[in-house]
Amino acid sequence: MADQTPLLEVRGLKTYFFTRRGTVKAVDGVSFSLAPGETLAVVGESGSGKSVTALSILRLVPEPAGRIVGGEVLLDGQDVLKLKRREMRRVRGSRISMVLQDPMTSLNPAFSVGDQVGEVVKLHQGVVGGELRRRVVDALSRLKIPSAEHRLADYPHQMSGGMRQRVCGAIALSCQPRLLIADEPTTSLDVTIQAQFLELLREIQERFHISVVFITHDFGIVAATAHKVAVMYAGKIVEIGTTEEIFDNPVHPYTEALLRCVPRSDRLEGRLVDIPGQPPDLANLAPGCSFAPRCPRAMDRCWEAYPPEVEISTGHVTNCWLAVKAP
Amino acid sequence: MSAQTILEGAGLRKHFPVTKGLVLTRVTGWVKAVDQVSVTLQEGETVGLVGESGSGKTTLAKLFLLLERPTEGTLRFYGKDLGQFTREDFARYRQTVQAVFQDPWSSLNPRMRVAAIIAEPLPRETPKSQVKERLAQVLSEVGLSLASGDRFPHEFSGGQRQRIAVARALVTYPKSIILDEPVSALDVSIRAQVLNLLKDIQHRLGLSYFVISHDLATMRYISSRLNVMYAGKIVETGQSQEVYSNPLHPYSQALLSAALPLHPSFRKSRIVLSGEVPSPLNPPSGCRFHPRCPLRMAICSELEPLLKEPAPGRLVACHAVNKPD
Repeated sequence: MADQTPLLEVRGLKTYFFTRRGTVKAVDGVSFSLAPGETLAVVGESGSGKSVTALSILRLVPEPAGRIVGGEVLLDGQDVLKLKRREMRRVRGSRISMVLQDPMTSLNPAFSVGDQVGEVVKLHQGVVGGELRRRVVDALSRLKIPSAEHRLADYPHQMSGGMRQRVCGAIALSCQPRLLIADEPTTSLDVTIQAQFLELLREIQERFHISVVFITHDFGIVAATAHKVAVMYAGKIVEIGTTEEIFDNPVHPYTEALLRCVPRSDRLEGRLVDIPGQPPDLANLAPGCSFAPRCPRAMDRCWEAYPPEVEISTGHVTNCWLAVKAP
Repeated sequence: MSAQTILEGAGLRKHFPVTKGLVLTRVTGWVKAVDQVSVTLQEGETVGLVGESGSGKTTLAKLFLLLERPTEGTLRFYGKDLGQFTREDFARYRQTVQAVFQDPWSSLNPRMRVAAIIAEPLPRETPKSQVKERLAQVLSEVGLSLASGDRFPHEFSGGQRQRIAVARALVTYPKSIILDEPVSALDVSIRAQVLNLLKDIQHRLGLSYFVISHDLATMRYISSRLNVMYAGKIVETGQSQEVYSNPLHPYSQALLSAALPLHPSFRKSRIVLSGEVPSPLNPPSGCRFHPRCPLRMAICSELEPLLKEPAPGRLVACHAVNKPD
């Protein structure tokens, strides 16, 4: 998979919010690449910049407060940040699409499910009439919505949470996108429904060879779905690598702590390892490593300068002074 | 040492009427949110309740907090029936059984200072000096500084707000705390802090917890006894470790198997249940789980299974597990 040309390449992406309190560097120099059919999980706490990264790829950052101030987002080698607004609208929903966290708020309560799926297909592919209807039913049945043709006229409130999230999935996948961005799609679902949805997503991804960027804070979802993991903290990726590498050989103390603060069945005795302190205020970042104030192994130079990228093994990169070999 | 039973619910039912019509209101059906549930809570133990949304777990918590009265069944508090409660009993109950809710953004009044929020459950006639003293005690108990009392909730982060909620619950010297999804709204790194805090406090003060959650990992970490609830009924109970290592009811098995893996190498073939939690308005006949059950037999749609003890200390309501004699 490594030698394939990447479908998506993000280079030095910077998205800032200009507020009265100062400039919030929500995404500050994020780079990663994604091969066709690959799943990248972006993990981080709230405020780490993971959702803003996703919105930046789709150029949906709320303006004028937020602005993408630097970097490139290459989709099949083409920088989507340079596209005209009209061209970008053609990309969204057809080549890149998105599933959001809460299907209750991302579906329009005033339109039927069939209309909402149909809107995307009509817009991007100009299909109408019976053909449109057939395509909508196809899209819904691909997400295993039972007796889809009878549910076209249903409204979102008539469906359960799991079904609603499938409708969102059907909308996102109706035009066979190359890239799907899933922003915590299962957080609002129940455990058994979450398992159903993840399973379904994996099946469809394999069948249509779609790349997925999975935004989550749950390492369980990472373990279940991702090929690669990027751990974000305070707007930066602090560690990236294959899922196995990150789980077995985490180098950054933040990654390590995140993995250890989840209760695990094989380590029930005693206390959980917690991370002291709070996530930092992004409008007010100190120089040096943003994790230093909470890091159990912080050294003098962690406070002075941001650590450089260090390659631990192929594809496993971290920004931490601990990994920098003394000269 | 035999621990005293603080709370005992026997055969609890809570049915909500579904009505039609504005003036000539008539009842067209009943939502059986909680149906024939028996749970006990003893001093010093942690009882967990897992279930999906709509299973009735929050309604059960409301019954325990006296926010709802049971339609049927008895609720005993140190052996005394709820029906025979005097005013003093109610007051004592509310001091002894406290609560911490899921979302610390909506459970703390944004217009009140933290000190006022925490002191609110104390009786009005408590002297000021005593209130102050108690405030200092509980604040240090939950690891907040004394100065926090002068601030407002919005000045705190999620984890700290949940600490404030815990402090408010502790202020009346309770014996037990009902925790409804205590860490679900918090960030991963903060969850561990709050779970550790809850365990420490329990240890120091000998509290008992009744924890409601859908997060199986958290539940396994914190609870000593576990109840699995499905569509208003408890389908399995037992010691947590035993239920986790050897779930007997097919729903418990599916629920535990649906839990996410802890490591990429544990990606396994999970039991993925088809279908959804049934509507409590019109639950399936017989066993409420039968339409989704992989072990379904003919009898399951006809006869409701009762809780029986297939192994010591374990209760399971399933025809396939409890072979009829």
